[in-house]
Amino acid sequence: MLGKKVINLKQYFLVGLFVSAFFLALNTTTAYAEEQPIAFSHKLHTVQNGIACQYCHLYARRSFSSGVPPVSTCIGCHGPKEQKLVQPDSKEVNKMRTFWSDKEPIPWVKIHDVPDFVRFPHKEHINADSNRLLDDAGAGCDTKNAPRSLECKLAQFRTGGDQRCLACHGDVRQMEVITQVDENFGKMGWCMECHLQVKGAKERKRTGSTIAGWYHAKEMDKKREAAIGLVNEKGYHNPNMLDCYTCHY
Amino acid sequence: MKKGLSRRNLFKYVGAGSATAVVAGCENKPEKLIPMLVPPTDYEYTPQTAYQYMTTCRECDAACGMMVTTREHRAQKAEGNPNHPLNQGALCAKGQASLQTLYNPSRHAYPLADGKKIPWQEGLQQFSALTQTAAGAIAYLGKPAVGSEGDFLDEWLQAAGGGKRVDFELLSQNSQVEANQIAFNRADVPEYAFEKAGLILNFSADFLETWGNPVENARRFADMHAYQKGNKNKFVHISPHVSLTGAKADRWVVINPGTEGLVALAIAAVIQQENGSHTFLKAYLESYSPENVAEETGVSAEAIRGLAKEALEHGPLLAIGGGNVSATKQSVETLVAVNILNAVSGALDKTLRFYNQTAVKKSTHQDLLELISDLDAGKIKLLIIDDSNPVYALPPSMGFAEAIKKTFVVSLASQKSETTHEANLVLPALTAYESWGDAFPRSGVKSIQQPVMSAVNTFDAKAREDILINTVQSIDKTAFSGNSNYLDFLQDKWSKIQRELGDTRSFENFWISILENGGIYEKPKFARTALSRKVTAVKVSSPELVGQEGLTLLPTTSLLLGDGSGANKPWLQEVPNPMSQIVWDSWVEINPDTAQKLGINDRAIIEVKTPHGSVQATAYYHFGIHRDAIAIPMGQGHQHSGEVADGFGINVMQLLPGEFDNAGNLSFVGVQAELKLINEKSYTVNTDGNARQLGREIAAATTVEELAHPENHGSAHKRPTEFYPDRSETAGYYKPYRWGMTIDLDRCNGCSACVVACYAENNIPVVGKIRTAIGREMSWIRMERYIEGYGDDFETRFSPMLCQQCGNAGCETVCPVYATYHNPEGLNAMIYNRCVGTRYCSNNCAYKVRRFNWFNYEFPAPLDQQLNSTITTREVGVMEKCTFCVQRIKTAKYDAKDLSRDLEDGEVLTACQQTCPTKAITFGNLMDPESKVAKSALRETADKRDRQYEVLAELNYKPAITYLKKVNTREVLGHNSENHDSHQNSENHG
Repeated sequence: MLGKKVINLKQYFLVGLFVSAFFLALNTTTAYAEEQPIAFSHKLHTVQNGIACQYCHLYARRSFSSGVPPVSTCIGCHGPKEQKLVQPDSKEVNKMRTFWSDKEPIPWVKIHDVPDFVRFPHKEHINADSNRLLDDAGAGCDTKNAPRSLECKLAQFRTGGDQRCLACHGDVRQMEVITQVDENFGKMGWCMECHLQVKGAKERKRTGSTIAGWYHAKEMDKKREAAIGLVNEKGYHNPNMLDCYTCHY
Repeated sequence: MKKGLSRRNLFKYVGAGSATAVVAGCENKPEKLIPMLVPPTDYEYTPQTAYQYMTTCRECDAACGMMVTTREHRAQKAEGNPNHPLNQGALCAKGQASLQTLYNPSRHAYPLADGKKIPWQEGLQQFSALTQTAAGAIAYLGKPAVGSEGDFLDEWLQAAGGGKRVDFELLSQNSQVEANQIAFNRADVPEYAFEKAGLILNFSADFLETWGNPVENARRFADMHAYQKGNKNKFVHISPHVSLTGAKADRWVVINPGTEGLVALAIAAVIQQENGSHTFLKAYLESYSPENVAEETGVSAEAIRGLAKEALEHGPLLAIGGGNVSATKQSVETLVAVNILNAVSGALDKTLRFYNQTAVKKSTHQDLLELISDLDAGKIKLLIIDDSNPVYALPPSMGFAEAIKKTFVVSLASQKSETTHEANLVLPALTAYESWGDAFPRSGVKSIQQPVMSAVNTFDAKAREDILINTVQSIDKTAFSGNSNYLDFLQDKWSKIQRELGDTRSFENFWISILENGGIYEKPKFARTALSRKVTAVKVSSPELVGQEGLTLLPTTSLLLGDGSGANKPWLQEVPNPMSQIVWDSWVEINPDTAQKLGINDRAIIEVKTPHGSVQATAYYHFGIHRDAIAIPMGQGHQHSGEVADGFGINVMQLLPGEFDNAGNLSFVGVQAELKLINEKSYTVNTDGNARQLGREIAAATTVEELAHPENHGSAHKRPTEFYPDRSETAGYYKPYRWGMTIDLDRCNGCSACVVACYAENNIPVVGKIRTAIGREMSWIRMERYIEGYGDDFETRFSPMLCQQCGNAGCETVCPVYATYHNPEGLNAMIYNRCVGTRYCSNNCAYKVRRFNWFNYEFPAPLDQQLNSTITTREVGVMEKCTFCVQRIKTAKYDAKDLSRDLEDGEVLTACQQTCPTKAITFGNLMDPESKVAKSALRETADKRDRQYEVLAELNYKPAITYLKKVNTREVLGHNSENHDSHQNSENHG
């Protein structure tokens, strides 16, 4: 009997080792960043020089993809070496000029990535009507202590413009190196946090079993459907933002 | 207590071990974001957005208009150009698969000299030098010109110092043209106005497969033949063989091989007697009276008179002849006879109309013989061959393969083939997707072919015409008036067309409008035509093939592989032949009666031997073939056409003698074959489980008479009464959309274009022959084929089967992880990332439409560039199935939202619906009572139904797809299953 216990301990030790290794490997730092081919500073371009997000990421309101700016966009201001335009002698800018003169694209490293089975349309988010958010969504945002709280993200989304980009990507305008701020960026729960803050979303979620609520089912259904607010004031049906097919197809 | 490792502990260790392995394997490598250097300015560009370009399909010379969807400047989907008058938005299976011509891994990737890679510069220099030395002794062998390329090649040959141009097309309409010249003094192919006919008599032509423009034919035929308002016109197939076209016929009249002409004249004789037209034919036709021809044709005089009576009653008649099965040495005479029948019955200028034009003279197969003898005599110093494949397609007895060894062969082909294998110098050409061209397939139709994308980067190829221009200009700088590329040449031609049209816009504006519309479409001009008196000189006789030793060999065409050019396309190999349901193979169609006499069982390997060669293939029992004949489809048996084509099936052309009819066209029929049993078992793979419906009413049919009585409406199988309320009464469901579909089995002809379209749209992997054999094919929509009845009176039914998007689905309730569930819009959603691969759903699906990814299937480069980037490409371990093209629904909804409105009817087309030549599929919102689909589905009450039924309705799965019954004009054979006789074997197809 004693021998058996020892074996069991060994077993748990081994399993525990594996489990801890597993979690160690999974453990990612909250702010994820990678070394980029050029030390491009979003801060410098947006805050100091006042360039709007969609000046470079110009497809964000038109396409699923926001678009990585082509090298010609950089050259538009910085110019090729011989022209001596903006920052003619910067080491980092010259890296870009070398890519340009070699006719090579810049191999940026993707930081904000969603899995391949997710179809995320930038344009639908940029053009979304913030009136669809719950009336109190975004209230109580504490920018100082919890800038990445759900409330603050919703508040940013409501504000619109460049703020809306920041709602998901974090305050890119303060980043010297592009960084993924939210640990759970691109994970489903992280997306759903906001998708559930849409009017009627909670009502859309089916709850309870049909059998249990059978007696009142029809009555309940009527109430729920009224609360969902299927049709918007413009007279067409609101897109369903909770269906799996919204993102996964 | 047991010592050591118990089962439970084993799993603990294994589980923990694999967890670490997974962590090690999933090392999160960041992806790269590669921007463009300069965004394109010569065309509009938004990433992940579809752009459509109009062009022309060049898979066959029917030249349908095509609209290609590109994303990220990669062609991802081919559709018909909706503006084009011939195909009106539809495409056939081959047209859909033209994407795999573009991305085919077996394309030539670089120039080859004697099989060795050389740089382009060297290849071009070699070609120029050869052209210079061979001046006057050059031959160009290529596909018949349907556009400006004919003029171009003539000009080139002239500039290069002279030579001759020979056309090669295995399935040509030259005999037709010759017969029209004899009968009507018109060397042209007329318009066949199917929709105006009251009765179609088809003399062996496969007009729904390869004859003429099958897409246009299918549409016009369906307009004539489909059930409409209590009426249905008839189509009689008079032939020794039932092809896919014949399967759509209301009746099959079995005739002896090669006697189509005699039957046509006998019918004409009776009609002439009755209506007294064309009196000069009286004496001529009397010698072909039904009684005189009855014995030779194998059709009783009574039956012929019956057909004539029908033609007189239900006219106007349209008689169609042509195709392989009637191509004996007398095929011109046969076609003249069909022309006489058309003239006598008054079809001329009604259902059969000639254009006011003279057709371009095409060279014939006999001209090839001349070329071969020239080659043998050493008169040709340089032979240039385009993408056509004569080494494969011509009967070896013609000696083409040997003859070209005596000259220098330059191949300007894009695809690897038996011909390019023999070539001394291969200069890879671009495909139609990447190069300029045009086609004038019909009077008034001028269609442009523009590059829809830059050349596929894995292949270092150049446009064929540009190679030629480059070569000749290195000899003579002034050639082609200094035009440095084919585009300039084309624009010269089109500016002439513009002047002829009287168009006063600047050429630039004119050109842009051409590119936007895909061409110029004017109403054709017709010319009145009369039957020539000289036809009485044409003597039609029986080739007397029946009664000889052996069985008459009928080489048939397949709408998938055509003359063999489709064999290197994985989709066309993987999609089952709609008639036999066989994939990746050849087979020998044989009548069960004959086979049993010879002791050949179904699916046995048999040797087929003619005086010219022998092959071994699988016997396939087919009621639809004359008892003294066998049929072998063309297109397989390649040796040097790439991995997908090589080694599958056999090449029937090897059995032919290489004889010709009076038009110089190859005669396909006329050789007798001996059969010998080799092995009782074969490894032929077919996808149909059972050819019989066994009372399941999957593909249901009714008759016109039955439909006249409303009590017969609806299905024998009905939904049971249900206790639960319908989903439409539940909160959030079906508001405003419940996607649904109706499929009209009376319009469907089984052409399988929908199946290929689905492969293209939904990134469905091709699994190959062996995996298909163990049931792992991945098609989301399949063309089910069922056979009713036995013997000559059998009936074939087709039914496209796809996910029924059930309102009460079996799959949803058994999924342990909710990976499949009922979506608020009525879609049976399949969420790949939730799926853990239990396959319970597939087991519980009554329609067997779910497919499981047993492997990570490969899309060998560059086929992966075709993958639709708007959907997920599935990985190993997940289930997948038809989604009603949810990506198209989503895109349309986003577009509608931008316009602040809901979707309108007809805004979303599924890929299968879009390409259907006969518009058999209707898709839309069932909740909108005004939508087309809701009107044709008429689901609520039985009294509002006429042909509607649901497949397996008794299971109460509440499918969203309503089928409309096929309408027969005869008794529905499926109704009495007592009719069994000796053909038990044919029940076990599979």
